[in-house]
Amino acid sequence: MRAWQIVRKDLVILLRDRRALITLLILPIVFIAILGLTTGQILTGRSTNRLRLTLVDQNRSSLAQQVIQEISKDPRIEVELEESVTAAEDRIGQGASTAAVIIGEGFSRKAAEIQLIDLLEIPDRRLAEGLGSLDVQVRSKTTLPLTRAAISQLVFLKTLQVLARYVTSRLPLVKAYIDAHPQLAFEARPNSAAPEVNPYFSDLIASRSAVYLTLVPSYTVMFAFFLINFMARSFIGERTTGTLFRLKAAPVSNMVVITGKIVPFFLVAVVQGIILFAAGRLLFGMSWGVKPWMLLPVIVSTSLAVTALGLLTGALVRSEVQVVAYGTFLVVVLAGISGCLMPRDWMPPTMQKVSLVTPHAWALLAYDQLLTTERPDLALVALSCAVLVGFAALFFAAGLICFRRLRRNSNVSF
Amino acid sequence: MYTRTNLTFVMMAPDALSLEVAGLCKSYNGKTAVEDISFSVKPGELFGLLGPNGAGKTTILHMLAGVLEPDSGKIRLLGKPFTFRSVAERASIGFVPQDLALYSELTVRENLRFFGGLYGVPDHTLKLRIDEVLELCDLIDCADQLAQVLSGGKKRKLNLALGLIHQPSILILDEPTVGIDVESRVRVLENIRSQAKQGVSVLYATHYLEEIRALCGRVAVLNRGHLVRCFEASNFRFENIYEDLLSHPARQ
Repeated sequence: MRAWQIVRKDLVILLRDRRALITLLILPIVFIAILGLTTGQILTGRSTNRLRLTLVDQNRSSLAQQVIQEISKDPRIEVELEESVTAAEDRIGQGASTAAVIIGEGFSRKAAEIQLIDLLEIPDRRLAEGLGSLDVQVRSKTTLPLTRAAISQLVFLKTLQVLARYVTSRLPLVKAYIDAHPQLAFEARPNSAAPEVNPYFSDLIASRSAVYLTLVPSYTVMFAFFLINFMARSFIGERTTGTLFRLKAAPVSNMVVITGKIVPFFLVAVVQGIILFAAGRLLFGMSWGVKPWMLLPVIVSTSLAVTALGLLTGALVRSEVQVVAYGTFLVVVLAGISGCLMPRDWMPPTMQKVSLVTPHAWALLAYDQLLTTERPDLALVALSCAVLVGFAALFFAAGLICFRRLRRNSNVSF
Repeated sequence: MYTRTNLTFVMMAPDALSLEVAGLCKSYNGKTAVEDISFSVKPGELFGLLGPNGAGKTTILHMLAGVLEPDSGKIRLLGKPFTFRSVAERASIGFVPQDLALYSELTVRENLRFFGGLYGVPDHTLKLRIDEVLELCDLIDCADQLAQVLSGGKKRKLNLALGLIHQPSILILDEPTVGIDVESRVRVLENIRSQAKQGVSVLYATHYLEEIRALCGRVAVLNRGHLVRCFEASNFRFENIYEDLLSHPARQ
């Protein structure tokens, strides 16, 4: 119970430190809001979450029009038509469009050459070169090669849907069948149903809040680790103000003192995590995923790792200057390695593996499962929590060893 | 003879000692800080440790308070062995360090409540005890002020009050009057004297000769880590102490 005296004392001191509270609670929300506004386009395509394509129809055939219609009716794609390639490229340069699709003059001629066998054996026949086989080009910024490749595949798929109807309708048997059933003619039903998307994810994709599914967990984890600075300062403060002598002279064991020192910060870390996820929901409309209650064990295990790392940092630093230097370095570097500063998916596979040496990365893995997948892999979430608790145990043991070494060399250690 | 331990009175033999120190040694990185220190303090006695800066007074007090582990030597507290690892026994010691050691972000009352709770003063008596100590140390008018806004003298008084909150049997004071005005110093010395009258053994370290002369019954003179003289203050010419302090202990 005597540890509770220290817990209560440190909580009072922490809650009276308005700057600390602003840094721990308000700053992350402001940070997330600003990044949500400024990077929304990068992370989710656009605030409306639709892919923006500029189409240039140099062919001007009915078949080209059908391709344009096929692309336009996809709810995930926003289409703008331009008269010239130059105008389309200008839109890309201005950031108004992600890519331009240019249907060349030779499109209808090349489409007329396509036979049924070309559709059945795409890699080996006339369509082997994809859109290039049909005089259709996709252009985007050179910095987005993967985006260009993905859009090319999407446009090729849409074009094949048109070509499939076009080619099969020319076959005598099919033609005779369609003639007998005019309601089946593709001209008569130009608007087929939109592709089916899982309702949860269609909401997610269409939602402006999708960006916060990346930002809120990333910055919740990063700012949780900011606590290590405050913890280390608290340990240093006990030394520099002389109160450590009083604590050591009191009838309590070192373990009670250390427990009393770390519990308040653990509680603050948990509350911080809950507040930031609540703010994500209330202020930014983010989803808590299909199993919201599972977020709590991740927040708790992350908080354990944070407080144990704070203990280790407190044992290693010797002054306030070192707290600022090492603590901030630790927070920023670990955030960078782990993928807090950018979506983990953007990181090269090697770096994604390297990042697993940080507790942050495991927390992000768990949050990613819970927030962005329809059926979260609960085994992976449990593993992440276990690894975070393992990190906590490791940091805690290392912190105790460092304190013991310090005590052996001086009389000012816990 | 009765003596207090954390709000309870325990019976001690009439000739029992509150504190016994035998052969205490401590060195830092091979450099001797104190060597072969032996003395004892009786219940209700005011025992002075006098010596210049660096004489080893603070090192001795830290070992007696359980803050620092001696290299060798023995300490007995209220008749029982006391080591660096003793925990419960610390409740009978009130330690007032040389430097101010208080939480500036807490009020005077909150500081007292925290250390009272830490020393195990029961909740139902703590409030009363806090009021007593506030009265004793002349801190009532600033009880609800943050420690950081107190004057230097008030901070010193709070520093002393924190050592008294749990009614210790042995009070260890390390230069408690440094940096305070004459009036405050007189009040602090009066408080210490009143504690001794109530049966508290006081170990008082200072380099102020006049404080030792005014306060202490027995005095140990320290120089360069050695105890060079131990005497009754009432029948000693204090002028002789200068010889002790100026001479090298190895020659004595």
